[in-house]
Amino acid sequence: MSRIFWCLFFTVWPIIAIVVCAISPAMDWAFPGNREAATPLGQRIDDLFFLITGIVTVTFIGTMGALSYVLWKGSKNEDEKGWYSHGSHNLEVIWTIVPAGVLLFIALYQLDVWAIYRVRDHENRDVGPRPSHLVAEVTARQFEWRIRYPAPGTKFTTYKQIKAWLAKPHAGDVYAVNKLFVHLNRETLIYLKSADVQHAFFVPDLRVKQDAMPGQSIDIWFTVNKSGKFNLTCAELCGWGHYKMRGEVEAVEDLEARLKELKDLQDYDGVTPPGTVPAGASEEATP
Amino acid sequence: MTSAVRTLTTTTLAAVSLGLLTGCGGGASATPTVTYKAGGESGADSGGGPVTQIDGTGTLSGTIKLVGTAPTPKVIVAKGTAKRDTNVCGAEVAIIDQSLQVGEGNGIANVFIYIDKAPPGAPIPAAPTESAVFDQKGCVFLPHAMVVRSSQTVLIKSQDDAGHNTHTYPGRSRSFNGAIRALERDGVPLIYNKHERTPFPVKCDMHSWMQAFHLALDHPWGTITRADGSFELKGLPATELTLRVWHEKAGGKGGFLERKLKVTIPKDGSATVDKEFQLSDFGL
Amino acid sequence: MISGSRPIRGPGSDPAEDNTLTTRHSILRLLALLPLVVGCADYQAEFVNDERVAALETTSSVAATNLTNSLNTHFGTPNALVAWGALPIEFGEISGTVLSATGNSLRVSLEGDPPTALNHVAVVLETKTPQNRMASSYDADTRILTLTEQEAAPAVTPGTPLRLIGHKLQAGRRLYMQHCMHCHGVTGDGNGPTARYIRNHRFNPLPRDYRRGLFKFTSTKNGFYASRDDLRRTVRQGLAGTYMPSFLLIDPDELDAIVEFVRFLAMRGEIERRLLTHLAPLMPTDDGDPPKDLQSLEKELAVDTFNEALADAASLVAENWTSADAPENLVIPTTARLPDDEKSRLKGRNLFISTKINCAKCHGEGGRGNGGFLKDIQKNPETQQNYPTPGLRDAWHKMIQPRNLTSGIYRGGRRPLDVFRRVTAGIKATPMAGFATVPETDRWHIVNYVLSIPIDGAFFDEHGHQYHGGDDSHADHDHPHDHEADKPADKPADKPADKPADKPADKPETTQPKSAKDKK
Repeated sequence: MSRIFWCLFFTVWPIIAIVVCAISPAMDWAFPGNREAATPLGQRIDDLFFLITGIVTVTFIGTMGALSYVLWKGSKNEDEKGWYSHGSHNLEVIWTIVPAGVLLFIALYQLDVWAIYRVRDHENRDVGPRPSHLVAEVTARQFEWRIRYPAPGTKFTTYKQIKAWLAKPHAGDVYAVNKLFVHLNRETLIYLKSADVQHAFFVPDLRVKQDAMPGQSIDIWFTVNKSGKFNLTCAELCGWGHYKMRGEVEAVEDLEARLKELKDLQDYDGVTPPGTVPAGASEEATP
Repeated sequence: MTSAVRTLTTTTLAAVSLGLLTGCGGGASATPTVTYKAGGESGADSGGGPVTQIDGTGTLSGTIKLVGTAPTPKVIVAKGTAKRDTNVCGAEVAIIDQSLQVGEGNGIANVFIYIDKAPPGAPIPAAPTESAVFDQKGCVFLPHAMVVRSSQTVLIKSQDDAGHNTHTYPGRSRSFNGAIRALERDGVPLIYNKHERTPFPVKCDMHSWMQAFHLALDHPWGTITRADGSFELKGLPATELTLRVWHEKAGGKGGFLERKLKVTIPKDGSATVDKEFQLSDFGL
Repeated sequence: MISGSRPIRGPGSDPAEDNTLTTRHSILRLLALLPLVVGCADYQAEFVNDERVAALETTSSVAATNLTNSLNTHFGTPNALVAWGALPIEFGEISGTVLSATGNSLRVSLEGDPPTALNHVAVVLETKTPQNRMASSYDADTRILTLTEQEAAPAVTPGTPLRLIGHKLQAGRRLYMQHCMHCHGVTGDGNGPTARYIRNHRFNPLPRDYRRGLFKFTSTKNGFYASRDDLRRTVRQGLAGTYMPSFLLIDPDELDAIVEFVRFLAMRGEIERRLLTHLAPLMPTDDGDPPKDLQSLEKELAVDTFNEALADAASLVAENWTSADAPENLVIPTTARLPDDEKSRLKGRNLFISTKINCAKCHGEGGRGNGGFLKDIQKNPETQQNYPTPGLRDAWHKMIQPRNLTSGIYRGGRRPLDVFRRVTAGIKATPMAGFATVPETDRWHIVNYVLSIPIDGAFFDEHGHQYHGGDDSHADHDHPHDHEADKPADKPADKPADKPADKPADKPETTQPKSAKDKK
């Protein structure tokens, strides 16, 4: 009696797992917010994810099915004695080569995405961002995101200029906290720093995640092709406030105009209403 | 498995699940109750009945003396040895500790003698319209102690060719922390808008030894002793008064030498009060 | 294997032994019940008393009890709050009329858009003598307000006005516990559980202790409290360079509720403080002895005049907080910011180092916050004693350093208006004074100079060396002899020398006005 129980026990959970996997996209359990990534690279990453999930599901069903069958068949037969096997060379070869082949296939298939995501070549402008794509420097600190944009209208032409800009404050820089504006449908380059401990810049909707290491300025680049606001969270445990280290990334058509608005607010002297300051914003400070 | 192990497993599973279910009752997230309490309840003395007017005034005079020999005041900055702002601080005279100034005849200067609350029924003369002057020279406040009328303007001036600041710490009035420019002769206006119960320190943060004491009263009946320890209060209501005697070094750190000094002021006459205090009253 | 215990046998062993549990198993079973006991202990939030109350208790328990009781009566506890009408706090008030009453169920019509959750708010029935009740729940569909009292609310006729008070205070308290309490403490004393991790650096500002009613970065004049806008801004933008983070994404209604609760805690703390000042003569002397005339003092202070002192404290606190929100008490410049050119910055620099106003004596010749006044020992204004170590102190007696102006971090905001306000009104609770008597044009020169320091450098450091903003290894250390930097105010400072020539490729193209140095 208990044997049947355990057979069913070990069969039912994989079935539940498969059912949950199958319905999860429809139930929005699969990916946060939108089911589709908001960046083209993110979409490719999602495709990879589904490919691998598919391969693994097939394998899973196959092996679990075989295991269940064997358990069932074997449990009914109480008289048969176990027999000693000297191994089967053919079988060993098959179940080494086939998985190796599958893994090799996956490794090669994703090389391209990895290269685009992680490898950039300053000299080769076909791969990687151009200096002119620089949008902001984001400094992660406990427990907020401090953002510095270069003065509106600044166009960087070499990475050396970017490094010089990152090194210290410059006149006209626009500062913000927890709210990052990026281009819509244009390459965005961000440099990530940390003011104190390790953090991680994680925007799930964009499929972007990058650890912030103290002492380093790490570049992150992406193109957002959906307008909207995206959650920015910290993905590296950084202290007791890690859970509340939230920000917002917003992709806007006209980034220049938005930054100009921020700059006007930042230059407010209490008397002269800057041209584009929205009414009622006078007491709203930028950090 | 044996029933022993089975029992053990079941018990553990039951305990853990019960523990998870019963715990975390959400103490911090439970809604707090709010009860309302109306404001405006009068805490003032119900004082019922009409208040008898006090007519007639008198004078109070006297001395406050020290018993024993006062220690020589410390020299804070010897002449010409200031580390900063050498052109003003201690440039002409050394800066000496003013916290206990004993004059001729062992009289103690800068002791505050005042009434806390005006006695009910006493007509209070109007506040003076002229401003009081609070000056500084050689990085020393002049005067060291001052009684003003609340709502009277105090003009903070400076004879020093160096920047100062004046930082007040009143008990009830609005505090003030303003920079005083070099050679400020017009005076920076400062008003203590409330009646104060005790004198309070006024400091300069830039020159840490600079300290004075002010008292703002909503009536004119408060004064400080002169260099020889003598004082005089005119126009006091002719009734029994409770005086406070306060010094910045009382008890070693500022306080009442005497908190309830009862004196009866005769109408159109004068009363005298002579008090003596020990060194131990000043924490010495 | 514990001796004396029997080993467990596998299945199929002697059935007689199967049901035996050894001592070991019993112990394991008992341990398994531990989760029930440990569990998630309910965190009981309670207001803590000021440190001095314990000392007061030793000499006059009457005074201490009256004090704690009055705070309890007028402010309550975190789980049973009291909305005291004498305080200028928006507790969240909804007016309405009673349509009918049955037992403890009232059918009401409420004005405005009442929030859905009205559990446990105070209900004030404006009958001839107003009655205080508490709401148990409110059903928006049937408009039935259920009171917690089981007996019928007497004499409530249809048409009686009523007020529901406290939903905003509840929301504020819940949000405060969630977001703020762990640093600022349940009582708002800046001593929450995580506050201790901020103590590691000498000058790291600790979480604000609200109980003095003093907040540093305000838009109000010298001597006035922080306005609601200031508190909102601090919560929304955070304080750059400190552990106060930005809560930018918080809902505006939630933000308002938090700010009201912070004011609630600040007022509670300040009233406690003022009552302690009133009861100060009852405190033990420095030797630990009770004061002289304890009995008569006790009767006078803790009994006869106590209520009056409480009412006085409440009215002072109310006035202070109300005046902070008055528009006439804001610092608003009358002239626009002067053009931010090199001339203005040089003027600002000269004012900065001039001994006429002595900025550099605290902020240092190079603006690094290491001026000469830091070497002096300051006096504690409350005790008239010297502090043990040299340096400047804030109102909470903690060491504080003048701002390092080269850092580019501005805690109170980096707008020209914000820096202007710091210069004009000072920073409350710190030695930074208000320079309101310096003419406004001069103040704008100083603002221009200060804002340029992180970018262009402070022109000259203590050694008279020039340096170029940020990259400097000379400043910040102590050198044995003091430079008395009495540069006369009108000496024209040299034009900052050429930087190592920037190769054109190293400078990004920009369409904005370049920094002062590029005007060559």
